[in-house]
Amino acid sequence: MSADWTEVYRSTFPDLVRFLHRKVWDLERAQDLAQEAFVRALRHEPKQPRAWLFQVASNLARDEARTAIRRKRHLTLLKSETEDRQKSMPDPARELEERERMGQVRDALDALSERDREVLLLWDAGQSYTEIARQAKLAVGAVGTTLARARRRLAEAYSNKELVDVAR
Amino acid sequence: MSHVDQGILHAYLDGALDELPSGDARAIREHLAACPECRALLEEEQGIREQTLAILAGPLPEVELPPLEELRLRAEATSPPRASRGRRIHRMGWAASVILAIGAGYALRGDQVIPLGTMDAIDGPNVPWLEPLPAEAGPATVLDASANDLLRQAVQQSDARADRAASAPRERRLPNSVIAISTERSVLKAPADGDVEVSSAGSVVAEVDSGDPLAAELLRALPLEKLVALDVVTLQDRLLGVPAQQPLASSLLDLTSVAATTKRLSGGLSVPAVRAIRFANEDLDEGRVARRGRVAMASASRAAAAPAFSTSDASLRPRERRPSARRGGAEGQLVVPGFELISLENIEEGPAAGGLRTLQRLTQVDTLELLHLPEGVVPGDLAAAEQDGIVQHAAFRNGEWLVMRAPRSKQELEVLLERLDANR
Repeated sequence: MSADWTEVYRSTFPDLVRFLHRKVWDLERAQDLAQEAFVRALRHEPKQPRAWLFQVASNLARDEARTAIRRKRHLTLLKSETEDRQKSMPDPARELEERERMGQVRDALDALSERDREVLLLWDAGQSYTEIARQAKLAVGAVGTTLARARRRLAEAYSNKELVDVAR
Repeated sequence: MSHVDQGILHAYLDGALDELPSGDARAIREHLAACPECRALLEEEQGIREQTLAILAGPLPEVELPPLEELRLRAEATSPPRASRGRRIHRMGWAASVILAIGAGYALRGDQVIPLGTMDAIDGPNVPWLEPLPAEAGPATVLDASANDLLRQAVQQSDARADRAASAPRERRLPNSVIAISTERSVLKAPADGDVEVSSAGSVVAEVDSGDPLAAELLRALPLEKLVALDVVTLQDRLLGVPAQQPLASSLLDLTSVAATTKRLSGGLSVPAVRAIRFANEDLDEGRVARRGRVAMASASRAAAAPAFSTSDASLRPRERRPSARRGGAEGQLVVPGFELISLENIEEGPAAGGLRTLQRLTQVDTLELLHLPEGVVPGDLAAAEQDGIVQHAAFRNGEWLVMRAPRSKQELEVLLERLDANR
């Protein structure tokens, strides 16, 4: 066995959950999927565990999305999250604010094309241009262009959303 | 040099200039230092980049790190069992790794899964339907009204289930395996308004519990030969109709079971053709998505001899031991003429139970191992050859597999096989 799995695990797992969380928008589910990705990695022992894990995670999230009608599901999840958090979080007002913000981030991300979103989330999870290119099936030279577009759209969508929310 | 484009500016901001293949990182840096226009643009892009950093920064969910050991145990629990007690025939994972490494298709005959790599070795009149799937996009497929109704029903069910699953995560999974009807590189399109239309590549239109009568109806109604893929999803080791104690860890075994499942699903139906079953367990090879194992299934009409859709569920029942008389009959056939026979034994343990194994001496140091597998056992059920340099050659003969192993090239093994065949 070549990879130091303890180290890979420690350094990659949180990034993976973060990445997945923005795809499935359910923390518990994101953790489950991240674990599943690791179980598969331990079985396959890929030579480049990090890149491999992100690819598997992405596939798992996609499969996950297949079965869900996103928006409805999102609402239900938000509801159950509220219930969950009420047990653990002492400050409901702050929690509400946080959740609203998360909803805005999500809506802004939803405004991106699938590939732009994937590239942006991979970058956000700390993947290099080379790794992003490989996973998103882009030329390395196209990653910057994609990120430029994705960032611009995200910023626009997010600020539009804020304006709408403020106006209400 | 000319002005720097946005993409390169972002690569610059992300510290990724050196990763660009054509980018002369130094020239770009020098240009940026000298060109006020580009610097202005850079500042603007930097502003956007920082905005997105702030948007995405958000409160990071607290991540629980479960013990790695726990995941290891899970990984082992779903790995193929290792060989034991010195028996030579066991289930092994090698077949799975071969599948992934070559990323090749698989052909299916009855419940036999035939790696395409060995297709040359298969002879007989039943070969023509063993075609690889088309790599290119097919034309849009228009469903007829009844197929469309069924599909819409399936979509509604899937959606309703997804909704229920959202509120009750424990019910997220379907109890049985799932048939996911999906399109890939082709459009499945219904004629009227409000009908199912899927245009994005690889989308799953609907998932249907294989135990649901709707599954059978759909299989009957959909123009399967036009669908690019039909996923059969296995849930861990719980696969429809397969006894729980039967390990299904290796992909090849899964494929076999998928075949059995599909056979069962379509059992008794006059399905014109199942063009493809896509094995939906995601698997990867070094970070790239290996092409999924694909199973082309016999068209019942084109290959009448291939019992792809038999109503019997024989493959799901415990294998019956072969009468010894039959074994005796096989004995004389399992010897390549001209080589000393070292041993001939019945295989009484392992998945290949009921088969025969002979060992012949090729030279003073080399031996030829021949395995005659009983019906329903595929080469993938065998343990990998124990030594390096051993080449395996499998051939399908009269509904059963013959596996040759020796430290010889594939071509030489083929010649030996011909010699054996000529003798039979």
